[in-house]
This record gives sequence, structure tokens and C-alpha cells, in this order.
Amino acid sequence: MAILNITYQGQSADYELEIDYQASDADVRRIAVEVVRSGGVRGLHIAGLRTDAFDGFVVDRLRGARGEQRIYLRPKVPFGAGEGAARPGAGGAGAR
Amino acid sequence: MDFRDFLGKTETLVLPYFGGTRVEAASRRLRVQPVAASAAPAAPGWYEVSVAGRRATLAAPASAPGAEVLDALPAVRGHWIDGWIFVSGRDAERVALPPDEEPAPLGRCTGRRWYGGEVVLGSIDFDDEAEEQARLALDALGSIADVKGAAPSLRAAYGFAVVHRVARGLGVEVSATEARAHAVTFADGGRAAAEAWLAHLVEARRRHEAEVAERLRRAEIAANEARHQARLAEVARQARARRTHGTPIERADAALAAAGARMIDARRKGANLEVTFAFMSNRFITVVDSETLQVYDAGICLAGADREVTLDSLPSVIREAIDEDHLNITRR
Repeated sequence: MAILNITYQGQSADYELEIDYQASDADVRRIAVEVVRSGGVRGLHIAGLRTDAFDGFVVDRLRGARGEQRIYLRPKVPFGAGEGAARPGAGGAGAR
Repeated sequence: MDFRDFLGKTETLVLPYFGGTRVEAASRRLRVQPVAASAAPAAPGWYEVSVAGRRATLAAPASAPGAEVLDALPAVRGHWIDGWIFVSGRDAERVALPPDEEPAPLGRCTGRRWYGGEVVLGSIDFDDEAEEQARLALDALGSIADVKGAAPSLRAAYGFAVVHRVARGLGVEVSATEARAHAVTFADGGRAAAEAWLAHLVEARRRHEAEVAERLRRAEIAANEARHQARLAEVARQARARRTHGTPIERADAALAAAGARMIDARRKGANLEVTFAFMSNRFITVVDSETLQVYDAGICLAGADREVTLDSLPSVIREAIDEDHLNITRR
């Protein structure tokens, strides 16, 4: 079992999944699409999410302070100076 | 006479059994009584058949019936070779039961078509000079193009004889039906023509087998992928969202701890939260939404994309920046 944290449009939610921590990145993205599409659980819910919505996202694996294994799926963000922190239009439906 | 007496009547006939579940009598098709599961299935051949109604029991092997029976059946005349009767320059019939006495190769013979359509050998007929010459040529697998008086059926039978023998030498299976369209070519061209045709046949079979193997391989891959996708869908269906508890500061602390970061300090700034934390030997100050923990100011240069991420995923972003030597801390 692993914890999957999905970050999408500035919102995050944690999901408990019956998958291996070392599941492939492609599998993680595929599961994430289904999870977010599903309306059966709390957290992110976008019924019409595109199948390729997470194609450019980063799959990362981090261990918590107590060794808890977590998989992170998050947007790939650019590094360096940009338009500023308060970029309008970003963000999505609240999850918390 | 009561009809039940008629149904109970048993008679014995001599019939050919070609395998399967039925035998054909002159007037009707009969169902063969199954043998015990432990018994070997009956071999094709002539049998004394005990008939009761539409049920038949193969009682004992029998000799083929004589001309008085077979001559009443439609004739199939031609030339014999390797279990086939070639009836024309193109058509051949397989003799369904091995005869007690086999005709000489390329000999004239007459088959008889049984009631179910199968052909059995009826009689061996007299040969002419052409058959004799063809048999001599067959020893060398040569051409019979110059043999006078050779009927089309003899030429076709000879052609098949040639290709059948060459194929056997090469370990290739070939039937008269496969070869019949080219039989006259083999009759005229002999071994060389047969070898050329067989080379094409073998290559076509090899390609076909390779294509079938590839189709099966792709189908197996597709099936495995479908099973895998079904498994992923099931994992997604059973996913449970974790509820978040506590005050905004407690939730910020939990989010950072889960990613391996350590919160040092947090304080409210209006509707936002300013969080100071340590991660990978560095100190960061980040401003987030106190409800959703969406990042407003990451405290590192993210080219204006700060709001794409949350405090949950920010440590992962920082680790990538460090790994790629792009870290630029703006608040610490």
C-alpha cells in the first residue's frame, strides 16, 4: 500500500492506494486520472478530466519523517525569475 | 404389425465407417452407438453393422462388398496415386478407405461414391502404354510431356506423384488439393518444376506462421495490457481519500512532515499562512493559503508558477531544483 498525493491546479489531496511504492510512473498517472475522475471519494474531483491530464506531471517518491512511503504527482514547474508569485488565473476547486 | 415391432427389428448390413458419429446406409443415415470411454475408437474401414431403427453398432470388421453392391454407385474414374484418384487434369478425389489391394502408381481405377459422398475404391482397371511409360518416367522424376496418349488425369496424377515425392524428400507435407492446379506443370517440368513450386510453398507457409505468431504475440500483449489496465482501474476505484484534520498550522506541519521536511515556525498573515521550514539542509519561508495550503509565494524562484503547487508538493519541487542546480532561495 502507498499514499499518493496528487497536486492539480494548486490543490492537493492524499489517497490510500493498493499499489506498490515502486509502481511505474505511467501507472501512477493512469490511476491518478481515474481517482480524480471518480466522484466517490473526497478530495479532488474533476469528472471530465482528460486521460492525458497528468502526462507532463512529475512523479516523485519521498519518505516522511517516520519513514512513511509517499508518492507525489505534481505539475512540472519552471525554475527561475518569472511574472511574480501572484499570477492570475491559477488555482482550482478547493479540496481541503 | 405394430410400429413398435418395426422399431425393435434389428438387421445386419456391411457398411463403410469413415470415422465420426454416423454411418450411411442406402436409405438413411445412422447414428453410431458410442463405444465405452475406456475402449479405443473404431478405425475407419468396412464393418458388419447391426442396425436397429436409426442406431448402428459396429459389430465386426468386414471385407469390402463386391461389384454387385459397388457397381450400383456413381463411378469416379481416373488414375490412382498415393491414395488419390485424379479424374481430370485438375480434379482429384481422396479415397476414403485404404483398399485391400492398392492399384499400381498411376494405374487406371474406378472409385465409387458412397451415399454420404465419400469415395471408396471400386475396381482396378487395365492400363495402356501411356501408364507404363509414365511409371518408368516416375523413377527419375522426369517429364512426361512427350508421352503419347496420356490422358489429362494421368498427367495430373503424374504431376502430383512428382511433387509428392520431392516434397517427401524435403520433409514437406503437401496434398493433392494444394498441388492440383500446378500438377500438369510438374508433369511437364519434372523435379525442377516441383522443387521451384515447393520453395514458394514453404516460404509462404513460413511467412504465414511468422504472421500468426506475431498476431498471437500482439494479442497476448494486448490481453496483458487490458488486464493491467483493469487492475489499475480497480486500484483507483478502491482509493480512499485521506481526511485532513486540525488547524491550518497543524495541517501545514503534517504536510511538510509527510514529505520529509520539518516546520520551524508558522504564523497567520490575514487569510494566509507564512510557514518557515527546513528541508535538505536549507531553510525556506513560504506563504500559502491557510485553507487549501496552495502556495502563493514559494520562497524560491518558480518563474511565477508558485500557485501551481501546494505545501504538500513544494518539498518535491525544491528537491528537483536542488538536484538540477536551479535552486534560488528568495526568502529564508
